[in-house]
Amino acid sequence: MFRIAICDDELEVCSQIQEIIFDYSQESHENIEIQTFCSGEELWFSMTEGLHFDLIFLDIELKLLNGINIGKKIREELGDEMVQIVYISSKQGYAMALFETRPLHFLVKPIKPEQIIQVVKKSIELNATMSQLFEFRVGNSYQKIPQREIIYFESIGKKIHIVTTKGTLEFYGKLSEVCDSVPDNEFLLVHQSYLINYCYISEYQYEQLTLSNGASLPISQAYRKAVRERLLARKRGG
Amino acid sequence: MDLLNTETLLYLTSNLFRIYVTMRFLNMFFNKSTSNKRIGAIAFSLYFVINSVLFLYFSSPYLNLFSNIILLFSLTYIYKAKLVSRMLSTIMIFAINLFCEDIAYRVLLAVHSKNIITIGMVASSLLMFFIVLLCENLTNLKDHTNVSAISWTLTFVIPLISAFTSIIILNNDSNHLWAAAGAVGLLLINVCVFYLFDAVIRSYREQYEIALLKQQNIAYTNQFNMMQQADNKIRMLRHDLQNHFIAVQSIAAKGDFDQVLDYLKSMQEFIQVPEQYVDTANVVVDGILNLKIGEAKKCEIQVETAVNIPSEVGISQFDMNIILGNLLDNAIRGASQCNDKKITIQIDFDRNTLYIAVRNTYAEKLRTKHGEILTSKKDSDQHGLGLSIVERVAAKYNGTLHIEYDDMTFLVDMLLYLP
Repeated sequence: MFRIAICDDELEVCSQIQEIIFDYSQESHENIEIQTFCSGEELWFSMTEGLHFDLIFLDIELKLLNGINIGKKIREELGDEMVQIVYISSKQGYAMALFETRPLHFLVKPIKPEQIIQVVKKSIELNATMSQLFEFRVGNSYQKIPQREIIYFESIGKKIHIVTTKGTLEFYGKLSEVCDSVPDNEFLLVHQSYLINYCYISEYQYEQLTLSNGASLPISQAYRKAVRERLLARKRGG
Repeated sequence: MDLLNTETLLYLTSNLFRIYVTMRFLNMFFNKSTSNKRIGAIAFSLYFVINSVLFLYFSSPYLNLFSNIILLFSLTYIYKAKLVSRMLSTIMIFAINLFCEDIAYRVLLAVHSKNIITIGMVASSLLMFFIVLLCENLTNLKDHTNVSAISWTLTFVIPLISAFTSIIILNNDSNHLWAAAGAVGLLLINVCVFYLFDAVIRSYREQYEIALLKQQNIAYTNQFNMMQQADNKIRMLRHDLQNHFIAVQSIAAKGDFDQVLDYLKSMQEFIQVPEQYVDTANVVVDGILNLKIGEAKKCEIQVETAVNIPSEVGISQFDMNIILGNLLDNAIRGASQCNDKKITIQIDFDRNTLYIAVRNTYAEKLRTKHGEILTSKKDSDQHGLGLSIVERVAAKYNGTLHIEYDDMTFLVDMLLYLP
């Protein structure tokens, strides 16, 4: 079940986007649930009450609680890095503050159906990979955690520490084996001892990364060019 | 007496020349900007004096060897560097020096020349000069700076011919002092030619920068005019808004909705400023993009843009201008030569990185030469030069240029890390 929220104070825009996505879900047989909100407060209230979304279309020019603020609140107060945000605006020209909420894309009104469909497709793809589970052995049993909760893997001695959104787990293993068992395009090897989930990176520098939880991890010299190549290839592939 | 004076004169001059060559070597090894010019001048002068005195007054070759190495090593302290680099460079320069002297003497021995020592000094220093010029050219190639054919020609022709000529002059012992003066003159010519050449290169670079600033100026003026035009149009519209509202209301009251739509459409068209292709609120990007897209449109090229960039980005206006200006110039040149003319521009800001990609259709077969991509004969210099300049600017932001192409499309893209 892929949950999409549309938040725009213009009713026509909400229904237009809803229609486009609905038609797409029929054609592609994707299981999509759509909810619309007329104001930022409504959306925020639902989210704080526990309602969860995978993709949110957010109007920047809402009346009271505007798009930028909601984006910030989602990332900072709810700590949700997984939900994809797509900002809708009637004009181009965005402040840096918008980019800091790490949106998936920006759309300018009037919105073309192809743009919506492309964004939904990409979002579903990203979500599918992240829903996969990571398996590891602790003692005699196998434990599984969803990849979306893993911030990064750190190799210390003979153990691997998994830093997740819910705490840190450990198990005996080699980082190279972990690299092989997680998808290439979701985790980035930046150091002999660090394997990081792309979704939790909040800032890239050539020599280091800043994570969404504030931590800074170094990119070792040997890996810098490779990391840059990976990022470049990722961008190129759209 | 006469011989002694001539020999001394030749020794001193060739020593001076050799020190000039050593200075060029050192400038190549170390970062020139970390040197203190005044200390450098004093140090080199001291080196010359001490070296010459030791050679002329003490005839011990071992003393010369030892003092040369020590003095050379202390010269490296003019620049900021690690100890290992200093030692390596000293050994290298010393070795090259020995090598050149060795070759010069062997050649002179083989041709049974007289005054091997004096001729050898001059010839070996010219040989060393040739080697340092060669190394400078190779270093420039490595840095992706274009080394023109002229540069290569001068590097080979001037020092080598001078060495040859000096050997001939000094071999003829009819008039020693004049011969010596001739040899000295040759050394002087070498220094002057390359000094002039360096000045010419610098002047070219300055001209390029001036041209760039002019282009930037035009882009800004263009952008400003566009903004003013849009502003004026909105002002006019606002002025007449009341009238427009009344007009639309009366047409709507009559129920003639087609006319209403037409009227609204003409209002919409009125506000549009035709040349405003991109409006990202980032003045720098808008300026250069609008200018270049305008040029592309004049060549009947279809342009698509996907630009997501905040209004303020950590790249200097100058650098943005160089990157986008050069990439688009190349793209326009490529696309205008084929039938299906299309350019796609993508600029994406994400988590402190900037992704820039320019795709264009092209027709001419690309020739690769020494790893540089060429298009037509006339364009080849400009094309390669443009990309190498962009590469240098990208390196400032830890970025690197990536080029790939298939039969139809040419793509240049890069990822820059913002400070």
